[in-house]
Amino acid sequence: MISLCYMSDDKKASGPNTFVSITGASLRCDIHGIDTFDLNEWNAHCSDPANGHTESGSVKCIDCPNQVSVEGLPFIPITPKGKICELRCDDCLDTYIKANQALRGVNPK
Amino acid sequence: MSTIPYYQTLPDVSQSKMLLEPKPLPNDPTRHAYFSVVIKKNDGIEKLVSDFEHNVVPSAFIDKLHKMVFQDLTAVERGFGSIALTADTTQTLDATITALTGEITANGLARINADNRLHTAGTNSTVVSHTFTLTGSQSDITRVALFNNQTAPPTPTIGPTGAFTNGSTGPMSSGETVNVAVTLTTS
Repeated sequence: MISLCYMSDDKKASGPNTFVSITGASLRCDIHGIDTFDLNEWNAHCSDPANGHTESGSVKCIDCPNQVSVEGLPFIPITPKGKICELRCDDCLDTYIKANQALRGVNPK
Repeated sequence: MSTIPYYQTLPDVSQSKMLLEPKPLPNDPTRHAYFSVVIKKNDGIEKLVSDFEHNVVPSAFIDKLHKMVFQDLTAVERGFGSIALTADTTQTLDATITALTGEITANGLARINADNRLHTAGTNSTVVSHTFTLTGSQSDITRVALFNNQTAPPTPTIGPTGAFTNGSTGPMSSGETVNVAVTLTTS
């Protein structure tokens, strides 16, 4: 079981950096002032719909090699496996829906 | 003799906000990105071989990032969304690296565009992740790096690089998987 969704003390930065820092430091929400190394705290904050955090980017279709562009997707928690996001591209979604309807005896429209 | 923190050696900036609080040294290993790697064996057992391990940020990556973000006037360069693996343990991982020694190029472990690249709006984080599925055997996997090109070799520009926290994967077989997730934060 993977249950190590946190940053241990020895991985905490010693403070903020003002100079050029291309990648680094804590997880920070610029809207609500959250600044943390605690992934559990981070995931809890961003998962709250009231805080309005959404995902944008690209994920692989779960049924084919195509990439699916996403924008405004509800926040997906960070895990040791990354963000688990299972989506289908338009073609695969259509195929999936038709197959599902056929199994249920529904006539596709 | 005591060492003077570098932020105290800057001349004539006593009024700068930069002096209000101590800054971590540029090579402070406690900042940058975080690599986590989970392998799944054919018997179904999952093993966490890298637990949000800190990375090394090569100078070449920083140079490229500045060029892409501040200098280029047209969108001509792609981002660092490709993931590469190696079994090497001899390369010194520091800011001077320009390639990943011993990069694996076969058996389903060759450098590839990551499946998922997601940024959370309003925050400073992006997660780049990919699951490699082995098509042959591999003696070991020890390190991972991001690149701005999915063809290896040659190396375009190497990005954040990290060694596995818990040593290595050990021997792996066809059908087993290696899940790499890189959490990148900017400040």
